[in-house]
Amino acid sequence: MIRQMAILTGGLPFFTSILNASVGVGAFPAPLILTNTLDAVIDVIIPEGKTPGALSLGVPDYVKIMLQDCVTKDQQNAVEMALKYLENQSIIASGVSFVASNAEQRTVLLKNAFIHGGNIEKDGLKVIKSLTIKGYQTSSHFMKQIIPYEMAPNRYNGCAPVN
Amino acid sequence: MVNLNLKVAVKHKYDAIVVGSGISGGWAAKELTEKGLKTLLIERGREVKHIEDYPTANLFPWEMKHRGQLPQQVIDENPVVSKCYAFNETSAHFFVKDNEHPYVQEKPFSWIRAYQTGGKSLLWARQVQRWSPFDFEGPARDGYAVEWPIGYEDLAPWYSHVEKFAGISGNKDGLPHLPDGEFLPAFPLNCVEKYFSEFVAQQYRDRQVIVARCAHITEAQPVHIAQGRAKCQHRTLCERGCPLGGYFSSNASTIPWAMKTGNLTLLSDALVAEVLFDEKKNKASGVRVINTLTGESTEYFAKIIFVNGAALNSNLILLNSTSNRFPNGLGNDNGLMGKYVAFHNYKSGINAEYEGHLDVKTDGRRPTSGYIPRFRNLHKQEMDFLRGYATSFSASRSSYTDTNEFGESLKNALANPKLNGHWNIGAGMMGETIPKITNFVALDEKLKDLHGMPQLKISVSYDDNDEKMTLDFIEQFSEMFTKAGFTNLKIRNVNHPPGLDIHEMGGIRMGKDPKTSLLNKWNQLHACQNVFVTDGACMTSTSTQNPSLTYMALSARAANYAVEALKKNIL
Repeated sequence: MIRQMAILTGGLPFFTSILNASVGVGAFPAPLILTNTLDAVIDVIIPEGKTPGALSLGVPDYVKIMLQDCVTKDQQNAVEMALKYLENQSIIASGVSFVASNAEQRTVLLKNAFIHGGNIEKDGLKVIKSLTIKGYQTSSHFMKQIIPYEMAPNRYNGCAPVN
Repeated sequence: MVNLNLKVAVKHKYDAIVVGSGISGGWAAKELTEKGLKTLLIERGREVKHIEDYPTANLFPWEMKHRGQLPQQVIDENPVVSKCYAFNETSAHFFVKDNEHPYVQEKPFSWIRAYQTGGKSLLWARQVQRWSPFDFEGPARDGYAVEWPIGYEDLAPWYSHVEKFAGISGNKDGLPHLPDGEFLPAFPLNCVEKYFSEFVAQQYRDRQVIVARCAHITEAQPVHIAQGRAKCQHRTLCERGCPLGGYFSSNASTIPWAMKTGNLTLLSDALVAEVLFDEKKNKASGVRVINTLTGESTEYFAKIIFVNGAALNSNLILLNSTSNRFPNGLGNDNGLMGKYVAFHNYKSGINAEYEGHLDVKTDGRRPTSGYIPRFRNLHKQEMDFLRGYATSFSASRSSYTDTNEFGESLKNALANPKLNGHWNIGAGMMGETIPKITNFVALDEKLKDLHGMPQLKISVSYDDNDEKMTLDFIEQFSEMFTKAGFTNLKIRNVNHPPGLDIHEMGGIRMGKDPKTSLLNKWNQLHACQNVFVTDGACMTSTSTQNPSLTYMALSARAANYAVEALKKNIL
């Protein structure tokens, strides 16, 4: 049975519920509302702080390119399900959308979703998280400032002491 | 009309034609041009100039759209090439996509190809182990294939010749079954590999763990500097093309060298459709080339022709070179052309962990690994299978990050990866397969490719000997690893069809007898002696070594013979 659950959230457009989504999902890019949710999830995973976070390093652009080009249809579907699930859970918990929630609320929602979400939702969240981490770790900032990447190390020591 | 044709014939006349600019064709071109022969090097793919045509060579991960990964659509559209370990976003432009050159898999076979200047020499794994007398003597001793018409002593000086120029790193290990060569300083084994090497030396007198010899310059000699090449900087980004020329490729080495002689003409986007046979002179006169961009056909003429199209494509070209004299393909009087194709058995590997030597790790990168030469059936037949396997072996200490966290604690964890409490151990077999008449390639009677060439039908598979050998590898390495204290052994059974070893060989094999082989001891077609085949197609048997070094040595040897024979007017 298909159930429409339309919720008005802070001027943002409507989105369909998880049950509706299970009927069939197109390829990314997902509707705008979900890409906003995606950005918010990425921000929870690697937030801004003393050092740059995922948003200022452009990780969402990378994640979206990867979701469009480099994952399977099943994974695209799972990601969309996961984002819709987060939005539904947010409404249930606080009456406002995930995007409109504060950082603390988002973190709780995301951690809970990793525990209590269905298998497909969890798979979708894992895809987002691993792409976020890869995007962060392969950013210019990370590879220059955090753990410098040496393109040409010009050495191999097979018996280097552990500090 | 006659005048015009004569003009064209004169204009398109060379002393030598080399078909294919990969690792063996590059060597043929270098030797022939150095000896003064005006040489036309014909490459079916586009021109790729050293350094300037390596677009990804210096890209950082964040500069690539998918950070090195390939789009799912590319993988879906390329079920064959996408299985190759080196095919990724940084290197995909150097590989033939599945739809660009279709072929018929009568039995499943992954045919990996690279059509451009340098061919697969841009992409190879750069492992260069010499064959030994035990390898050349194999077929005669064990009664398979046919006897090799040459022995180790025939090729040894040519191994030295190509090693000095190419730049080979390695240790002088003093092993009769893996002869030493002209080596630059070796890359080292790491602590755990050394431990295993010493352990094996004590426990298994017939086995040795050494560092694999590889075609990397570790100390540039004048001959390398003269090529414009420099010391390997341990980038391990080799399949992008090396801007330093740190590893050997036709692009970095033999082709620019040949070009400097002033005797080389490189013709790109030019597919050799057939070798032309002159019935009056009873020898080959040239080649017919299809321009792959325009579809136009042109003929080029020369006194000698080297066919170096890569093993299976050389078969295709000669099978397609039909005439009244040779209705079944040039030189194919005995009907064996395309037959006795063999390859290397990579069916299994073993991974394990080791909880020793935790006070050390590795630092930097290394473009090679450890290597265990063949020890089975070496001195005599002793197993229930023929021949044996070499093994690649390596240990590495990786780190891990707890990615269960979120937010600042995740950022902190990512910034502070922890060393694993164990080393990762890996071994992979590289087994000899036995050439058989039932493993063959042939021209499909109906299907053509985009250029109107017959599609190649490939009918090659594993056999019982491969299965038995694989079981022995698993048994032996499980035992060696367990005894050495390695734990958590995981057997990797590769269920993929043959081909991904990219060591396909044979079909135009060398031999003493024209009734049972196609090429003589100088790699000349028995029945058309101004045509030489010196790529993988010429191989009588495959032994267990990565074959490229042997193709290089055979090419240099045959080219020098051809020059001498031309001088003596016997070609």
